[in-house]
Amino acid sequence: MKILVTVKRVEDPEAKIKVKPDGTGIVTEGINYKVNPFDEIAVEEGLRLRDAHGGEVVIVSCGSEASTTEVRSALAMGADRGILVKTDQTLDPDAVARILVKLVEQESPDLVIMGKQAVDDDQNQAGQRFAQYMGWGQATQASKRANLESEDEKARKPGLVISGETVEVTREVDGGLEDVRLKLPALVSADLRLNLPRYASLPGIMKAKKKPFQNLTPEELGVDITPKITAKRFLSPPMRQAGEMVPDVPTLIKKLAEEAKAI
Amino acid sequence: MIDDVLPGGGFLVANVPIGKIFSREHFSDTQKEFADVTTKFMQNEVIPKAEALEDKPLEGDLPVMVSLLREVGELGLLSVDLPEEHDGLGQDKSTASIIAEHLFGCPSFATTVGAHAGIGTLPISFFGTEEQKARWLPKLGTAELVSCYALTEPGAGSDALSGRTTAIAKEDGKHFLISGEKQFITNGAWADIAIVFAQVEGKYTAFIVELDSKGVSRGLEEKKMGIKGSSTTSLVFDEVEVPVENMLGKPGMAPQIALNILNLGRLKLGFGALGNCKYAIDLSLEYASTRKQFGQPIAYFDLQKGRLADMIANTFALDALAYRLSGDIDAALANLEKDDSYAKRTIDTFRAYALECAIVKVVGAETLQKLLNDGIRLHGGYGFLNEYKLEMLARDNVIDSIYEGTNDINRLTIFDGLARNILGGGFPFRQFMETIDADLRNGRICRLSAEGPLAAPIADCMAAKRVVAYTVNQALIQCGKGIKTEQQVMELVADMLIAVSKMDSTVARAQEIIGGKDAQRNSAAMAIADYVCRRGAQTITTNALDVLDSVVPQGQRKINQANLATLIGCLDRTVDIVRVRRIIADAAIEAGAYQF
Repeated sequence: MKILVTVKRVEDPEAKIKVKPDGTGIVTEGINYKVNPFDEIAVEEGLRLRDAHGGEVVIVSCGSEASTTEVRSALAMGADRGILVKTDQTLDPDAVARILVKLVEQESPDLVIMGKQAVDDDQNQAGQRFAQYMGWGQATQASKRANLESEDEKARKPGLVISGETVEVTREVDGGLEDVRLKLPALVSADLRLNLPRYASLPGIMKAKKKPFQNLTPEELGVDITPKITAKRFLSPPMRQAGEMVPDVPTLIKKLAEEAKAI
Repeated sequence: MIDDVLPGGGFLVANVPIGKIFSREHFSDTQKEFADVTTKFMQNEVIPKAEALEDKPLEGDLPVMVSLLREVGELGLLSVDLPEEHDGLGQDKSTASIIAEHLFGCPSFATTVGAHAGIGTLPISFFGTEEQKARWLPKLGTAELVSCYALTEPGAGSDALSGRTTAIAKEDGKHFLISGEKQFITNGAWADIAIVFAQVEGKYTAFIVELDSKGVSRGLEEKKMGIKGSSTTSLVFDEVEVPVENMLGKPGMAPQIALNILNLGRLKLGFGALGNCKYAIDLSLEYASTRKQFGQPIAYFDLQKGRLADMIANTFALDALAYRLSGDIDAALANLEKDDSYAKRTIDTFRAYALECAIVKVVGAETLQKLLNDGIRLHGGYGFLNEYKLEMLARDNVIDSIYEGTNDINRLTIFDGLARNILGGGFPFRQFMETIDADLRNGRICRLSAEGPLAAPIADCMAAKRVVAYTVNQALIQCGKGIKTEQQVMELVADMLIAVSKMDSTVARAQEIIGGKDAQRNSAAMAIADYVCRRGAQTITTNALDVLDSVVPQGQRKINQANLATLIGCLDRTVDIVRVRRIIADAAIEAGAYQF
C-alpha cells in the first residue's frame, strides 16, 4: 500500500521563544528547528504499516527550502521518497489542506497520516480540512490500547489495523478511547501514545541523501495559498504574578470574590 | 613565521591559522545529523538511566549497559570509522569525534563505548589481517561481541610495555599458551573478546583472545570512585590456548599498537570531556537563571558571571583545539593513497600528532575538572546532591586524568615530542630562534602588528610563541641530556605549550564566528579570545620565569632575564578581564545555553 505522511518544520519546543519587539513574529535567530514531534509519530506508524503490508512511504512537507532537512530526517528514519512543496509565504491550515488535495490527486495514496497538530501554532486543522475536501473518512488523535512499554511496541507492531479495504483506529477522546473503522483511503492523525518513533540510524542518514526527492511549488500544483487567516500581532504572555498564602478558607473565598472576581 | 603548521608542535613556529582550521562551523549536514541522533539517544535513553546504571542492573541475564551498547551499535554509532568493506560507515576521524563529543551526560556509558569501539576494536581495524577484520569487525560494529583492551598489569601501569604476561608457542605450531594477569580492564565483566598483550620470547605482542576460552577467569568488580556503571575487573589467563591466527600484527609489535592506539584514545577522551563541559554549563546556566537568592536569579551576581565565563571560555578553547586537531589529522589522512600500506601510514599520521593528542587529552580532562568544581560551587548545597547530576560527573571525571596515560605521563609526552622535533628538525625551530635572537640583539623586539578585529589576540599569540620558544630553547641548551631528569621543568614547559596552543586555536576559531549576524554572540567570541589570551599569557609568563630561574646558571642569568623581560613585554596587553568575563556571561545568560 502507498502511505503519504506529512512532516512540518517547527521551532524546537525546548527553545526559549522570544517575540520580536515590533510584534510581527518571533525571533528566529539562534533557534533550532526540528520535525514536529507528532509528525515523527506519524512517520513511524507509516513505516510500521509498510513493513507489515509492503508498499511505500512518501514524505510530504510544505514550507521554505529549509524544510528539506525535515523531509530528509523522515527519509533517514526509513521512508522511501520525499516531496517538498516549496514556498516562503506563511501557510495557513486551509492552504496546506488544499496543497495536500492536489498532491493526493497525483499520488493516489491508500492512507494519509499526519501529526494531530504542529507544536508551533497548535492549530490542529489541516488534517480535518483535507479529509473534508477529499470526502474521506477521518480518524484524528490516533492512539492504541497497548501501552508504550508493551512487547507489541518493542516489536514495532503497528497501532493501526489494516484489513482489506478498511483501517481500524483507536482514538483518544475525552475520558477514554474510542474505536472507529474507516474505509480506505482515509486520513489518520497521530496522537502522542500511538508509538515511540525510532531513531534515524547513521547508515539511514547517509542513505537518505540518495533517496528520490521532488521539489514542487504551490503554483505548479495550481493552489492559491493566499492566507485566509493572518496573524495581526504577536505578544508574550503576561508575567505570572507571585502567589499569595492565605490563612484560612473564608479569606480565600473573600479574595476570590473581591480581588480576583472569580466567584 | 611560516604558514605551514607541521605536526608535533609545529604550531609553535607558525602563524595563527586564521581561516585554515576545521571547527564546528564547518560541520557537514550529515555530521550535524549524526550529532543530533547521538544527542537524542543520550537524552532519551541513557541520561535518565545514568544514576541507576551505577548499580550495574541486569535486564534478564543481560547487563543494561550491554543492551544500550547494542542499541547504539544498531544505530551505527560504533562502526562510524570502521572500513565500509567490513560493514562500517568509513567516515573520517572528525565524524567519529563528533559522536564521541555527543556521548555526554553518562561517562560510564561513554567509557564502555570507548573501551569497546575505540581501544577494543581499532587495533583489529588498523593491524588486523583481512581474515581477522572480516571475522571480527562486523560483530564488533554491532556489539554482538563486546571487546576490551588488556594492557595494564599489576606491575605495569604507566610503564605500560613492561608487562609480564607470556605467550608460549605450543609444539603443535598452531597455538600459543597465554598466562598472566591483566588489571583495571574496562568491560572486563561482560567482554567477549580482549586485545591482550603478552611476551613472545621477550617480544611484546598483541593477541585477540576469546574470553570464553578455558583458563580465562575474571576478577571481581573493582569498587571505584566514579564511572561506577562501567565494568572494571582483572582478567587472569592460565595457559589459555590461543590459535596462532589470532596474533595481531607481528611479534614485538605491541609498542606500535599499544601506544598508537592510545593517541586515538586521547583524542576521543578530549572530545568526551568537551561534551560533558557543555552539558555541565547548560545545567549550571539553567540553575543560575532559575535559582533566586536575595531577590534575583544568582546568574545576575557578578561572582557567578565570572564563574560562568571561566567555564564557557575554557570550553570554547577545548572545542577549538580538539576539532582543529581532528581536522588536521583528517587532512593528513586524506592525502594518503588507499594502498596496502594505508593502515600503517594512518598509524604513522597519528604518531606524528602524538603531542597534539596529548594536549587535547590533558586540556579535556582538566577543563572539565575545573568546570565541574566551579559548577558545583555555583549550585551551592544542591551541587552536593546526586540529583543535580554534577556530583556524578565530578566523580566520573577523576578517571579522565588517570586513564589513557595519566596527565603526568601526557605532559612528559608533550615535552618529549617537542624536544624531539626541535632537536631533530621536525619543524623549522632553528630559523624561528634565529629571528628571535637577531631581534633581541638588535633591540628590534616590539609588539607584532596584525590586522582585523582580532589583531590584538593574534599579536598575543605571536608574542607568546616567542616566549615559549625562547624558554624551551634555554631549557634544552642548559640541561643538555640532563633534561631527562628535570621532570618539573618538563611539566612547566608542557603547560606553556598547552597555553599557547589554546590561544592559537581559540583565536583561529573566534575568527570563524565573528562575521555572524548575532552581534552579542560576536562580541562574546571576541571576549573569549581576549580571555584565553590573557590567561594563557599569565601561565606562560609565570612558567617562563620558573624555568629560566631554574635552568640558567648564575653567570648567564642577567642577560637571560633581560631577554625574557623584553619578550614578555610584548605580552602584557591591557585587558579588562572583569569586563570581558561579564560580556561572556551576559551573552550566555541571554541565550540560555552554551552557544558555541
